Amino acid sequence: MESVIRGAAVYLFVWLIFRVSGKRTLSNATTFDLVLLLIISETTQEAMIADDNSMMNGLLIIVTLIGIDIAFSLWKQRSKAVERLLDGAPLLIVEDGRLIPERAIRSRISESDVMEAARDKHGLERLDQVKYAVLEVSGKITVVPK
Amino acid sequence: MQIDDQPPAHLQIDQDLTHEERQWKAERISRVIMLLIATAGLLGLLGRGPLSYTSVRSADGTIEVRYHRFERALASSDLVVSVKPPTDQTPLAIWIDQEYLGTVKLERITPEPNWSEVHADRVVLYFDAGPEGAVISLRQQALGPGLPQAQLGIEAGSSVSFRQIVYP
Repeated sequence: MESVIRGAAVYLFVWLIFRVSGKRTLSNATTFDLVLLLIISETTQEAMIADDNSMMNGLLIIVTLIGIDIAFSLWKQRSKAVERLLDGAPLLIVEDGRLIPERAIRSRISESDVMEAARDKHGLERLDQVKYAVLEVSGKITVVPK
Repeated sequence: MQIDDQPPAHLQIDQDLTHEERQWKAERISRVIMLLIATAGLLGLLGRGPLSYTSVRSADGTIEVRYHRFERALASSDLVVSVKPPTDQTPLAIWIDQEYLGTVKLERITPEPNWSEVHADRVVLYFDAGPEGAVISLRQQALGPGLPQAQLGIEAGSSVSFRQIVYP
């Protein structure tokens, strides 16, 4: 019983903390972000496993985590509002070569973040070559060139 | 450019600025909550720390126990029992309530008792102690979350009682 409760509690807690920390947290994938993610996963694992290293405990926790994930995805499929609540929504941050300042500030995005995505995927040189840039739910910035 | 701008009609994007406003608000509130949690952790309100470490002394001052008010399940911590003169007992006998022992795992007793006796309601530990008193450390681990009430004392002498908060 405890394994299922632990698995569910950790799933919900991790979801909540990543959800309220913003789209950009840990999505930048710098080396440090990767290390931070590994530290978080290690800490989470300790909290879930506690002092029970049995196979049955591992099996129960995996089934719980995957089960909740499937349940959430089915729920998201049925309702747009639930999908927004659980995953968030994409946000337009550059329109016609201009950064929309308020959205960028609140989403913790700078012009250089947009230019990094623009150079990376499209080899663009300047912001005015960007038609649209969208902050996706994954935290990545996608760019539509002019 | 205003924040309530609609996305261009030809860009198929599932944008929802009302939701985004709520999201940003939740992010701001959560930052404050995270700061409060970290501060509470530093102060020792969520486990061991300065506000957690406390002591309880019997009315006559012969026994004092230093303990953590806030504990975490499966984390080890020490109960330090100080017995002060007058202790005319030879050997020194310290009893611990059985009900409390059911909520913790005693990992180590320093110094080790010479022997122990088990009764229905308590366990009595016997030590060789000098006339100047003794300090005994009990390393223990709370087995699960709850509000265990601990009682311990000197056999045929004073006792102390305290409650701990054990977080999951």
